[in-house]
Amino acid sequence: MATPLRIQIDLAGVVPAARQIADQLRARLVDGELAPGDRLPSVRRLAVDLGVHFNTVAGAYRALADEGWLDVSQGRHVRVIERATPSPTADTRARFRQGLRQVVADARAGGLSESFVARELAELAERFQS
Amino acid sequence: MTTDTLALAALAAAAGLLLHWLPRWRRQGLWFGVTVPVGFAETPVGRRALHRYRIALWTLTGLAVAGIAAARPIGRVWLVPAALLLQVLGASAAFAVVRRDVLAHAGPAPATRSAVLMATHEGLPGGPASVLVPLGLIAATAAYLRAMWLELPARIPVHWTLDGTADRWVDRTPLHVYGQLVVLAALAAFQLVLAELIIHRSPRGRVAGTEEWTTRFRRANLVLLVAGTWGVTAMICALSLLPLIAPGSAVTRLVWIVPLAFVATLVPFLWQVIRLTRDRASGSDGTPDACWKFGLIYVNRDDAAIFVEKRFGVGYTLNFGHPGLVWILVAGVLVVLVAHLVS
Repeated sequence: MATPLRIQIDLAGVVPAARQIADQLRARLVDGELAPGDRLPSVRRLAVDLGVHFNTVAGAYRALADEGWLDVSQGRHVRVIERATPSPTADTRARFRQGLRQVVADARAGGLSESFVARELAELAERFQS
Repeated sequence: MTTDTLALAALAAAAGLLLHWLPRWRRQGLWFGVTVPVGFAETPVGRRALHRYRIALWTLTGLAVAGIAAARPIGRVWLVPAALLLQVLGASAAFAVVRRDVLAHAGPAPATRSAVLMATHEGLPGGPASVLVPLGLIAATAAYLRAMWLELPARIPVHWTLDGTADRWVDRTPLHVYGQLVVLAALAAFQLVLAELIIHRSPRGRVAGTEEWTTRFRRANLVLLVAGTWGVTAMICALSLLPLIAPGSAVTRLVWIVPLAFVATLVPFLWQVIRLTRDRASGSDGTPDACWKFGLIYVNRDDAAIFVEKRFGVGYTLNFGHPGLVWILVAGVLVVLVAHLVS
């Protein structure tokens, strides 16, 4: 039996729980682990399992629905929907570059070597191209 | 000493034994309701805590047995419930006091939370049979009593001593004959609703690394709850049919077997739950220590769960900080009201 897809958040971390949930879901949506038509747990179910307030999960789902990933309009059911890729703007590109620089700076500050960071970025780029 | 007094004293002793072991039936990352590292219970501090609790418990149990034994000779019958209440409340207080000391050794609560990302269906153990069996049994008993109405004595026994002698009777009226079956139906429905709520409103595996254990523990608890519902239903239905049997016959003399059989059939299911608590992979439950009042009552407004695992004893308890709790309490009060009205 396949291992069920899970989400993992750190309540002691500096990143708010709602943001962690949204980020992890987005990563899985981008990777295709969650495909259009897949049903996600209801707001209540996910909040009960994670031990957080309903609003925390509702906020994360709402953010992803605003981005076009999820349909949350059908009562308790949350469904992954087909998403039209938006045309990137100059601002999107600038934010991406800045975010990438920030990630690299954090990694270097954390003691990771230049070669390690470069290797990881190259691997990631290769995955995108394949 | 009468057989009733002996039975009550035995009950107090059995409760003492149960409470003796209760602190050990918990997740391995908890001790006296406090988040601790796995293995803490076997340290000198952990063992001392358990020792203190048990000294208090057996002192209270001794007092309870003495109270029960003295109640009839000194003409103070109220001493019996008071003694049993003292034992249970006293043990809970001892747990809370010992917990306060263990809190000084509390470890950090596990902050990494995990949840399944798939909408899955989980139902009651046994599927539709979990509901149909008890309700069908009650309906069949009511139908049989109706068919045998004229065979029922004008005065119906409703309570028996341990040797099977009836010592309390009521008139044969529809309310008295079917009343307890109505209460039983309400109770069975209430218990099955609780089981459904545990399925939908309790965590399926909150702390990362303990998901598999939590799944097994939840299922074992649900099986116990459904088995308990079936058992209570079978027991009350059997007792409802007793007035049809001639007083003093061999069957009525063996009436004590009915509750004993009920308890005996539940033991394997309870044992299954207890056995799971020995697993070191159980870790902690992911509820903050600060939200547990006296280690017994859970109050957390930021937790969406209505039911969470108990920290003193096996099973589930309510989150008293949940806004939806009021509906469960209303349903509980309704069941008590129905029981009161038809009794």
